[in-house]
Amino acid sequence: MKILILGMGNPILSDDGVGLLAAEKLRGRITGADIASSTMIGLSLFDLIIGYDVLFIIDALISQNGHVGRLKKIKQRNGYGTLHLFSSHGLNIFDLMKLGRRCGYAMPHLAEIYGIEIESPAIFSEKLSPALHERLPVLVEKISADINACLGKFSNDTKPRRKFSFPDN
Amino acid sequence: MSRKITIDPITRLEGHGKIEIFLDETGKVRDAYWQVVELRGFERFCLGRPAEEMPRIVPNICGVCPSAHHMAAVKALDDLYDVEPTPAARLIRELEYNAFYLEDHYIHFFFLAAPDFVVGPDADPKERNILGVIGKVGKEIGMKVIEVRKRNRDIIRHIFSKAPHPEGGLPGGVPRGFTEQDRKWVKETALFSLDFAKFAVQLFKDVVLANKSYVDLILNDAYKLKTYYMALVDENDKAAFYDGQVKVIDPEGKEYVRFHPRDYDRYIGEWVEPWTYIRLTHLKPLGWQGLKEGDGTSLYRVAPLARLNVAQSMQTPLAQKEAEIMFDTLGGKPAHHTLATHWARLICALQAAENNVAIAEDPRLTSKDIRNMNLKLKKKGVGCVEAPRGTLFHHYETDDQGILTKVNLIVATQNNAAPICLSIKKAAQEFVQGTDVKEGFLNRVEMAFRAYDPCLSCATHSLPGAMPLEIKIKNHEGTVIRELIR
Repeated sequence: MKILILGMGNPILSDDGVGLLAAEKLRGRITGADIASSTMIGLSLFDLIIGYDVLFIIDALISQNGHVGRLKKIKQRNGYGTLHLFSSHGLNIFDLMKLGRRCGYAMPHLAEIYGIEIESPAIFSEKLSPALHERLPVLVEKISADINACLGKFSNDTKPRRKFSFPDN
Repeated sequence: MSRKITIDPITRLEGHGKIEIFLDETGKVRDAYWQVVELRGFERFCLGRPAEEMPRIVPNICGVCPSAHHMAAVKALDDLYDVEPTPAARLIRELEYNAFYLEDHYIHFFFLAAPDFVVGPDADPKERNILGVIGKVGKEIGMKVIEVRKRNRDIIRHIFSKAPHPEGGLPGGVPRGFTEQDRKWVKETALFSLDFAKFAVQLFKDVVLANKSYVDLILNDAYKLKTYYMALVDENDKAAFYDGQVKVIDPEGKEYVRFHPRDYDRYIGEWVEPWTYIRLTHLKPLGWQGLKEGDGTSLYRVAPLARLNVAQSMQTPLAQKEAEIMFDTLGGKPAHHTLATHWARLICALQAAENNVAIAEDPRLTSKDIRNMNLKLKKKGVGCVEAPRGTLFHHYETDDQGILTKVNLIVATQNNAAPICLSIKKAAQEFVQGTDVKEGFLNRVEMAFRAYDPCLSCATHSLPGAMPLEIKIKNHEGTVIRELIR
């Protein structure tokens, strides 16, 4: 089973790049998983994700009444959108999956999208805000535990079809 | 009582902007503004950094057209270090830039424009997307779009180390060339792209031009705007994407000025209005004349339609033939029909594809002489390319150590920002009457700006998310009297 953990974000927009940093810190912690990052959106993700069986995504998120560093599972039905998976210039991640399947590509199973709440996506900096920087190790631990638990359930199924959900924290 | 309609945020537009439409007391559109509500700051972020970092930094300015910023930065470094790329390096850069044009223009056409013209401007928004397009024209087309894009991205990746964001640009050359073994796959990609480019133009004729209501929409006066036009042309006055002189024509089609990109600040003025974060550009010698078209305007437009209007002809035979068909259909040159920008976009892609077939066969492609190291820092450099969305300028100044002391970018969406306001106003005047507006009619207003393929990430030099469409109708005191959410 080929597993991809994809971090998304912009490395020069401070907290916006938290998905990239979190994915990088997971390197070596998830057995057999490849780690990749993308600053692009929409159709560009095809190049990265086709060929994998299972996909986990980590991205920045801004929601109403959210607090910095909160981890949120993104589902199609719950109305949340992370900052890079819902481009108006292309496709959102769910439509991207549909498009791929409709065109006959073997799309990976989108196991989970982790949205990390940030304060602002419009501050130019190569560093995280102090609050998010402090919170990052905890977030990485949580995401790592989640992914490992999820993969444990997939371990005997090379083509996972069922999504496993975890309670929001 | 006057009314205000707000379309916020706009769909299928990168970045966060909103449209406000003001109605008079009889319910007719009095005015319309396209507002950009994000603050720019990218230029300041770059100060104090070594100039040679710019090709690595600027592609991150947005997730839509990194290759255009990358190439403009590389060319600004050529100028800053007073160095000419070797002939092979220039050829390889043009190959990469044409590859970028192909992937970018087809994304726009099939993902952003085709939903309006293939699925229909009044279709259910849930169907008015690429999935709806594929439902109409077949999944094979979707597969071809994905394939042509992937193959051209392989060219970008090969030259500049990384796609989606190219990062390896160097003054005076390119970081990686091609071998004779590589030539085979480059040629296959070029020929595949040319086949697709011909197919895409034919699809436009079969699906859009064969439908009278769509042709009427394109020719509708609501989508006409008489402005100046700006684009790059080569030494033979043909449409150029990678390099050339900046040429401007007036609304009647006469040449107004032609200048070296280095002189951009003599001819391009930037104007600040309190209602938007975009600095609105205009022709500086004419002064800021406000949001006005026709006689007395100082506004110009860029992007594919401008490229075809400005150039005497296209560089390649098939693209030229299609341009002639387009101008015959539109009633001559210059064409002011904003929605024809989609047609022009496909013709530009065709030129890019034809040129890459020629480059793939050029003996210089596999030369090892891909870097001119004769660098001399002259502390000021300007780079200019035709970005897919229009003319793009990067202007850098440094100290004696090559550390950036000034950065100024003029991006395509900035060039088009004031005309976009006017286009929205004209479309709104045609399609909006009072507050009881159907979704499809508001989409027709959105079509007026979508043709420009505006990208707010670049224009504000900030970053945006994207959200569903919200329409707010407010009275003159700002009270929301009606709200629609897609």
